[in-house]
Amino acid sequence: MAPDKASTAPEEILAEQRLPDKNKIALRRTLIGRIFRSLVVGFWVMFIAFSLLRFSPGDPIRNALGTDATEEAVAALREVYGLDRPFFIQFWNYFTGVFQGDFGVSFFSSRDVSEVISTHLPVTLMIILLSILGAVTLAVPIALSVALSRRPGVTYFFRTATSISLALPGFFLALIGLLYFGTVLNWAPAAGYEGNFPGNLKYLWLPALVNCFSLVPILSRVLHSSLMDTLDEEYVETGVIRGVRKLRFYWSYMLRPSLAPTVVLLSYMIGVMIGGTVVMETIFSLPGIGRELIQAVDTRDYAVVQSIVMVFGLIVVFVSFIGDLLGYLLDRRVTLS
Amino acid sequence: MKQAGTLLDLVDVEIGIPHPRRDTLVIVRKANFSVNYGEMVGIVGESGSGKTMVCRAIIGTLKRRGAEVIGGQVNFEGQDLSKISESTWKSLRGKVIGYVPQSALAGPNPVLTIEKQLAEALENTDGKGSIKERSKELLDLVKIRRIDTVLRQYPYQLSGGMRQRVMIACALATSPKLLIADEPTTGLDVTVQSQIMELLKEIRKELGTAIILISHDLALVDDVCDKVVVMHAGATVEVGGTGSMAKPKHPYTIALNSSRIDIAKPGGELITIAGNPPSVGEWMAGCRFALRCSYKEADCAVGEHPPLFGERGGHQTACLHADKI
Repeated sequence: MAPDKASTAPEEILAEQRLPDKNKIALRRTLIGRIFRSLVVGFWVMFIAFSLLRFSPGDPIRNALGTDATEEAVAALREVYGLDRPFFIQFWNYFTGVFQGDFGVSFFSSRDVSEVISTHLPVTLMIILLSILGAVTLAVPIALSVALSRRPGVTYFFRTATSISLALPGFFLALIGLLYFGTVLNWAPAAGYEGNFPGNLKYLWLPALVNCFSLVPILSRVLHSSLMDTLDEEYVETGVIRGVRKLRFYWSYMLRPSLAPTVVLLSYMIGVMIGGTVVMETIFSLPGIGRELIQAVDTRDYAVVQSIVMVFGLIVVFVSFIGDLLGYLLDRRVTLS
Repeated sequence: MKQAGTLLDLVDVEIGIPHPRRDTLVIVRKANFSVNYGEMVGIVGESGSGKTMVCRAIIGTLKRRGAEVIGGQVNFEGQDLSKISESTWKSLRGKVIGYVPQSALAGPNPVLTIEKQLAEALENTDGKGSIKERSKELLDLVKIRRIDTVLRQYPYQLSGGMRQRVMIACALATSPKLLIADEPTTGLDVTVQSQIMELLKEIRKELGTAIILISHDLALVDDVCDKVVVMHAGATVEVGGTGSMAKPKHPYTIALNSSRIDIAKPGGELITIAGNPPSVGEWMAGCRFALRCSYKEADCAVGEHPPLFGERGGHQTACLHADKI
């Protein structure tokens, strides 16, 4: 069979235009672009975090010194923290400081802000990590088995159960959970905390479980509807006919083409959770970063607030970037913009 | 290597979607045709005539759509495919019968490279050389050049024609005796369409694979196939050898023939078939084409849908009044 040169030419050109190597170059360029964009976003988050509190009422120095401090003492402390200087000079000093690893000092407790963050952020991140691990290990099999079951009753039950679970307020579940597991069964200590890894799990599993009550319904619903779309695709039929083995079939023919929207949603949910775990931290009295932030806002502790908000912003930017990248790696049709 | 005789024989096949409370919804009734070894058979009909369902009955993927064969026989090399279990299907499906799906654009799995998809298709087959070498041979067989590049690519990086070639290569991986191509040229432009048709013809000639070609293009099917099967509203209405559809005997085939765009007079009006095919579940008594038929007589609308008259293997027509046409 001699190849029909003239007639296959247009297809060949198309194939050549999209050589994998050129794809790699395009991917690298997109990645560099995304990193640059993240830096720009990071800068603005930093600037906004810095300026918001300064333009809101309340004086951190007076808060720190108490009501009977003399004017001289206030002015002196203000000078120590550089708050008497013009706004942009203050920002510049903070900005250059951050790049040298100096986040400033808390006006209130005189602790290094970097120390505040490094002790309290891991607690919050651990809650979020546990929540995600739990939610993914539950949501994926649930969505998959509901999509594969052809009985309409199963889908109906799934929709009802997820709606109910989503409608229950987290703080309510947290209180009930604390009452039951904390005091009746004694499975989760109602207060206190232990910083090291395996030990802290017994304090963190319950807040993570409560988070799952809202995460699992959201993730499994989205994944379920993507799976239903995928099941109608012609290539799934091709996979069945080809006799692809069970596990590989579930992964390559069902989950992988369906997961991208769920992954992107999950990365967004992580951003929401970072701001939202403060409720869990308060109810379970965990020393998380959210509680520190609330306290710092209360006392107008500029140095602490601006750095925590900046870290939150950077985490959100980073996580959404990872989410997009994962979506792309799972399914090359997803474009990284 | 080439065998003679009947490879696949469908006898009064009925396909339906069972419902726990309501009656089973019948979507195909009286599908009758046969395919010989190495023969190229075309199935023609409007959308919803049951062409694809008949294919799924042959390839064994009705169940996942909630449908099943509820009557008749699907004999493939002496085995009734409508009666075998899912575990038997596993050793049969995609091995002795290859399948090229309906739409070229959605056929290949979007998240796997061409190399991985070919490897999956080749996995349970034995042959000379490594999987990679055999993948290259297959791509060469379907006339893809720059094979090394294509192997590393994802389907979205290929044109529709290339994707369909890859699908044909995958279907041929197990050296099937029968290849089913369900509207393999849908969505492809005309020059690519004719290339794919040429490719199918060559595959049949070189490998001796019997091919079922599903299409709604009567002219195309009549041109490339040895036998043409015309379906309307879930029934086979006419079966005939090559070229015989130029002198069709069933009013539906006549209507299809006269609505061909390629024989329309320039500037003249295009001829269409009056009315729509009856919807599934709303089939009337008697001939299901009767309402749209210009040769209709009183006895057409009573009793069962007419069976195929004529000798099996020859020109058959499911019309009570074929002799008057």
